[in-house]
Amino acid sequence: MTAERLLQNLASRARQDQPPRVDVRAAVRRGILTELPGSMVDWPLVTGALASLVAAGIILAVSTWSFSDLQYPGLELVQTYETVLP
Amino acid sequence: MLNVPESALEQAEVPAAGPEPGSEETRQSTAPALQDSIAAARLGDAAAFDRLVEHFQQGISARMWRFTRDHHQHEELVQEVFIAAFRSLEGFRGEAPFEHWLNRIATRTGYRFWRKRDRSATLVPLNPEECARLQSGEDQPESARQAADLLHSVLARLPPRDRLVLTLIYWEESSIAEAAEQTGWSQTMVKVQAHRARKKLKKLIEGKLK
Repeated sequence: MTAERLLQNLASRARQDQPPRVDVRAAVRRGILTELPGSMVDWPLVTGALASLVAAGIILAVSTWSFSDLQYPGLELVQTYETVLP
Repeated sequence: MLNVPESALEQAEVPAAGPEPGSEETRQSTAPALQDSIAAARLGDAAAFDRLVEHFQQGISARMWRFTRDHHQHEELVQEVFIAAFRSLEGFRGEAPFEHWLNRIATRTGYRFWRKRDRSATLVPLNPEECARLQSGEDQPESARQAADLLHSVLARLPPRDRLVLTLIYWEESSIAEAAEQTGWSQTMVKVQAHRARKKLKKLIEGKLK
């Protein structure tokens, strides 16, 4: 018997094999949950949160700079002087 | 020498050219009840896609059962096919019936699975038990399950491309045109690949059966 004939015979019997029944709906649902289009993302909320973070960062940076020695280079010296000569 | 491009099978996406879902061509090829689900799923309606999964999952299960005999891997492959389909839904233009489009994704998913598992291109010889079972041939018909297991085991000795083309042509009973559609290869490429695969199989089987 040729290889091709063997293959044909085996395949004709193999085709009668029933595949296992599966129900993958729940797993597929979980898998695609993160892939749903933009409608699932609350963009106004995300934008608002980002804007708040940026604003907070700016305020923090400005206030840090305002009270730094860079802004008032003589402040430390004046404070030291006041301590020595009350 | 004619080489089959790997990229054709590696791509998960399906060509997008063709009429829009709901067009006359699509209506003729896809059941009307499914057309609304396809259109809604394309817009991201998860419930509509759920209905498509329910409708097609047993067909895809049968197809993926040719790619693995392991129940756990099989279920994962079926899931993978539908998730890949969801990702590519925007590209579905109704050029072919939805089922054909889905089968093409399934074939590519299965092929990638084989390639990940077996990157060696060497022929692995059959073991004596498999040879004896093959020799018994028609005289002692095995159960369908045993025959499928044996066929899977024999084809697994071949490199993935050879294995794929023989699986499609013999196991799936696909025509050359259908195999070409499933793989993304030209019909000439399918014929050449099938010829090479048969030669390798002959060498594999007859070398042992002598």
